[in-house]
Amino acid sequence: MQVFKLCGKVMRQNRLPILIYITVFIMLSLIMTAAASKDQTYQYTAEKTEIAFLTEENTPLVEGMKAALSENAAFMDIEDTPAVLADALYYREVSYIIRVPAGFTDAFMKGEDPQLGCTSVPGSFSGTYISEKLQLWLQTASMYVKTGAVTDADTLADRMNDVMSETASVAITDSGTKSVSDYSFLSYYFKYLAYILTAILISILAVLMQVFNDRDLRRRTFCSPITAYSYNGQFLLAGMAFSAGLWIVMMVCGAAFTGKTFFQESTLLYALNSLAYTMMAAALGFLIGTLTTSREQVGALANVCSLGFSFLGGIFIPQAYMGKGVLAAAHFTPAYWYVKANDALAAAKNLSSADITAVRNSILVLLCFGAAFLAIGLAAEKRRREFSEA
Amino acid sequence: MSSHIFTTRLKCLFRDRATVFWTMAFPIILALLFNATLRNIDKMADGFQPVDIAVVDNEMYENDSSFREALNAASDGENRIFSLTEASEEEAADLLRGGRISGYFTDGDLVSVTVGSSGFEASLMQTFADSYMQMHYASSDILEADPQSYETLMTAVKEKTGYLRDVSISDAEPDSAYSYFYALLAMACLYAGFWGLREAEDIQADLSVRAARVNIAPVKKGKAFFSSMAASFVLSMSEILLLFLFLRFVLGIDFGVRTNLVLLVTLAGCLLGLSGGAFIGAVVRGSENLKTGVMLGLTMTGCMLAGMMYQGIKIQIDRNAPALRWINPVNLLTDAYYNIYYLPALDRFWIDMAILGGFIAVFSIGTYLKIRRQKYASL
Repeated sequence: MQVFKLCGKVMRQNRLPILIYITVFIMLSLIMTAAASKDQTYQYTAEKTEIAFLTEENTPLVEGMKAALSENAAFMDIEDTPAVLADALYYREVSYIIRVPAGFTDAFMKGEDPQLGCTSVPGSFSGTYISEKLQLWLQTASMYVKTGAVTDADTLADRMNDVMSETASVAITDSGTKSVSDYSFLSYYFKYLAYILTAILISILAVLMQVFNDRDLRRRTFCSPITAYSYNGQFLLAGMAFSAGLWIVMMVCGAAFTGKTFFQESTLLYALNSLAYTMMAAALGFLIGTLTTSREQVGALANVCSLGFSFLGGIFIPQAYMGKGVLAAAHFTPAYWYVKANDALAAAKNLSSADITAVRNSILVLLCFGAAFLAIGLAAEKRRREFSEA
Repeated sequence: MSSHIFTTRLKCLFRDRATVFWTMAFPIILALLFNATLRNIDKMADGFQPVDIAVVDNEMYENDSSFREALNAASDGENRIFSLTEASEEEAADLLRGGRISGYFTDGDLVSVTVGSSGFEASLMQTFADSYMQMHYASSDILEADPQSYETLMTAVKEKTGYLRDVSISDAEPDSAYSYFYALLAMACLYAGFWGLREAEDIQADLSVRAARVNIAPVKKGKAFFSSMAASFVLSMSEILLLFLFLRFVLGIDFGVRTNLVLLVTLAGCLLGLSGGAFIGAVVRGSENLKTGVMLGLTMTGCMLAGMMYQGIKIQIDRNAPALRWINPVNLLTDAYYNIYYLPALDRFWIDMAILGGFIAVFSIGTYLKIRRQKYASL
């Protein structure tokens, strides 16, 4: 087991950079997980839209309008300056800005048709939704004014309060799935784990191979009475041991960060899915280590693969928000299958309603990817050895 | 002599494939990934599409002409909010279970809404049903008090008065995906620091063998350094301009109409990256790996705080720690690009530029003071 032991020795000698690398990525994973699980920017399934309500007058009518909107809107406290409002709309701190001009109530009560200033993201769902709500409320209020049923703003506000108590009954059929905004911290942790595993395993395993790929060292190794079969076997065993160790560390971190929620039935499926991904990433690390000749090349490929998989596979951006063409291309990345299974587990309200097929497919596809990477890596390694021995 | 050093250095730098990858190819690869996934995120996440719904075609619905008219009006024309299907209750439930509709209405004493899950589609359906019932209630309320007002009421109901007036903040679309590309361009500018770092390494004789060789050459240190820096500037500026052209014309990222200002920001960004890298190379004592780590760490932290990985961070910092926005060079560059594109007024743009100029001056003077007139007793 000389090769296996040597791998361990190289790892031990580089333990400090490896530890720093793993710690940095775990921290990065936590920041992203925490941000994504709280962020509503790309989770428009929330029922309330953030709006800025700016008013140049405070009247019962305006208060009534605001109260009616509060069912569907969260009012954000934004400074009323053009640059701050523009920033807030551009960066989606608010999706809608309403400005009530001075004299609006007086004009409205006279039966005139004053207008509110509205700014929204053109063509947005949230904009259409708030506009619809506001327009219908004002139209209903105007019925009282234009028929002469109400002549003062106080009474109108009271009547509109009564009107607003009339609501339709709403039934939600249990589809067994949660909306994206209800996805748990645990599901985001496992989602970002794919990025972390790809980046760490490619970087460390491929760099480890660079040590063995030194021409003189290789020649010395192959002079020794060790078969290529044994050499590769021991090397793969070392890679698997490191990958398994890393996976266990990530599971322990997951348990530490998520607490009791980690210990639920679905965690087993999340974990199995991530274990299959770990094996795939380790095989990819082996392949890249075989194909590259310098640490710079490894660094470049590790970044391109980890970021490429993460963007295209749906780790950073939800798959639901990707175009059809991109999604079609994403099928060729292992991360797509991993995230699909992860999302299926995240959306399930309980294990019995979880889409087990998606998890099973993901594990099979990831193992196939891993086998393919390993086969190409071994073939390339054999070719290189024959070439260097010649 | 200067031109000789310049040309030779340019060739030398161009052959450094690893640095060329990080400063040119890597940002282009990231841009492609951003483009594939982030470009249409606003439309995909919040773009309005008429909501697919059904209505249960029962006897009540057949007889309730006002609800039918209201629903048909909301499902008709270019600005329709619903795509309506009439179906039996079983069919509607099947459509909902199959995910082909977001929900269905059932007319009765009360209009009821059945949806698959909560969300905007469900809320829009509820708002519509609530508003219909509220108008119905208001009409009854008014007529109960004054039956004579029927005609005026019908006129008020049918009047399509627009109480909302669109007010635009900017001529440009608030496409938030662009800010990722602006942050990416800012990152590429700061990646010019790789070249600046290398220049500082290659001029201090105690740091590299090449620098020792340069120091014993019969050329003034200042001349050698500035000629080499000029070569680095030409190379990095070319790379960043190439990235800018790629973003603008290949990916179609809109930088607004004030192209001269965009070029000014890009020039400032390139100078900032170069001077910042040289400053780190001159001031930080340690191995080349450590210096690269410091530079990359600062750049990537700046990118994260400027919203390149998660846009919400930028606005949170703007609101809660405004001082941080003015000392983060990546944010200054990103903000300058954003100002040019989206804000009509340029007040904040010039503040960004002034601070960037200050950073460049501090880094350049600091580097100069650090490496000038250094003598080595032994190499």
